[in-house]
Amino acid sequence: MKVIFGPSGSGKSTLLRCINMLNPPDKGSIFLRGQNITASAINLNEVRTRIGMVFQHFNLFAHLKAIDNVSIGLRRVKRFSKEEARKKALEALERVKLQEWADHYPAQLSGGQQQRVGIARALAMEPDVILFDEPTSALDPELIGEVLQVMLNLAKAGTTMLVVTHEMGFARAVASEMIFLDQGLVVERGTPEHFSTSIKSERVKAFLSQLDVLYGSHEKMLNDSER
Amino acid sequence: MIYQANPFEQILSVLNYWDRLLSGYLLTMWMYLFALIFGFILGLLLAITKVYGGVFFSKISIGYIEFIRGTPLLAQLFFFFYLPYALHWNTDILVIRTSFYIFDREIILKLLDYPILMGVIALSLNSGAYQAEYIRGAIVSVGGGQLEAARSIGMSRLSSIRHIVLPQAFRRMIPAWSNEAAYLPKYTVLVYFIGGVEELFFQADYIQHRTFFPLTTYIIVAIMFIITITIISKLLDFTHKRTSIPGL
Repeated sequence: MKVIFGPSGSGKSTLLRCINMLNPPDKGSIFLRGQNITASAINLNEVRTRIGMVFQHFNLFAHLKAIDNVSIGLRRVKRFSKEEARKKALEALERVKLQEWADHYPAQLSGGQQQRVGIARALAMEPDVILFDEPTSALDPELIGEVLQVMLNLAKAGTTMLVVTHEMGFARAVASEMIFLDQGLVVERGTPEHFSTSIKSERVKAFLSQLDVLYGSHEKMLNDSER
Repeated sequence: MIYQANPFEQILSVLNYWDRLLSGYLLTMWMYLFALIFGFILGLLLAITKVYGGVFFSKISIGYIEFIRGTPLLAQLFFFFYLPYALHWNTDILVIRTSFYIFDREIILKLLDYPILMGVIALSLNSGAYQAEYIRGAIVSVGGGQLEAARSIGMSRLSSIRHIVLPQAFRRMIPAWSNEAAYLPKYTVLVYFIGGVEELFFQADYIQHRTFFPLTTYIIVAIMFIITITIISKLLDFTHKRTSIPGL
């Protein structure tokens, strides 16, 4: 699992959208298992079945129940039979612990549940890589945990994931590599340890201390003010 | 002193022509249904090309919609009515008639001839432009995220529109679209002006000349419309409720 982070407008989402060719890049190439998917002869629909995407605002199909959200790709793209698709979709929902909610519409689910359906929708296609575009930033604090737990389980199971997130605690615990983007450029990359001990760039330091103010050091600030 | 028929007698003498009212009503509704259905198909195509058609096709679609909305329906009807004559088509063919008996009275119904066909074509082309805007509005309101999510799991553009966008758009469309469904019967009666189509107003005109009770005749026609339109909007309300989904 690799984590991409950086300030607003730094191109994190654009990078993900380029990778699955929702916004084809202006220049450069993208390789998926050695295959150049930016080549002109590529069948993009086929490529996209191998690249899962989880959106910030879930983008669940509002007219379909959770189970159908997960199975529609199997049915319409992979041409599975109805029963087969349902079986695989239930398996995917089980991996995000939502099998009991299979027959609910997205509007009847909490944000965290919706995002887990979104993850199951990507999982069901058995992609080579799953892209997460700020999967928890539209969620209530209480619901973030359940989504991160699901992602953690996926990471443990060896799923290749590319995650844009500002949950630095989660990133440090799970990521194999972290990449800091600013103004469309990779400023610094390294292991989580690298980012907690030996940051080189001032820009990264400033960004992380901002995040600390937001999330990390509330207690420290409170303690300081009490004294 | 001149004898004046009381309202009850007037109604009775107009209703004595109920067979004409019925056949006129059926023809009007027949044209209405065709125009609504063909207009819907056309409107759907126009809406999809306007939203997803790219620069060239969306321009065509916009141009068509603006042209139709910018010209009077009556002018469009006259244009199509005179077209066969201008092109010297044989206007005698294409006639389909039917008749049936109710209470021993023969109801004669001309289902198709050139004026009817041209009327239906003009109405469909006109209604299509208006329906396109209702459908387009609904498609746009579904939002790009849905299409993007569908593309991200590998669905083709067409399949995404067909299976993801349109099912949602249709549900959202019904309340606004019921406007068009309720307007169109009243536009359909404009076919009366192109002449030779024995629809409801043609028959009403015939009846008021026979009975000399124009007010009563047209009030009865108006009541027929009120009942029809109420039924149409109730049906659409019902459809809206039946097809509604939480959160849509």
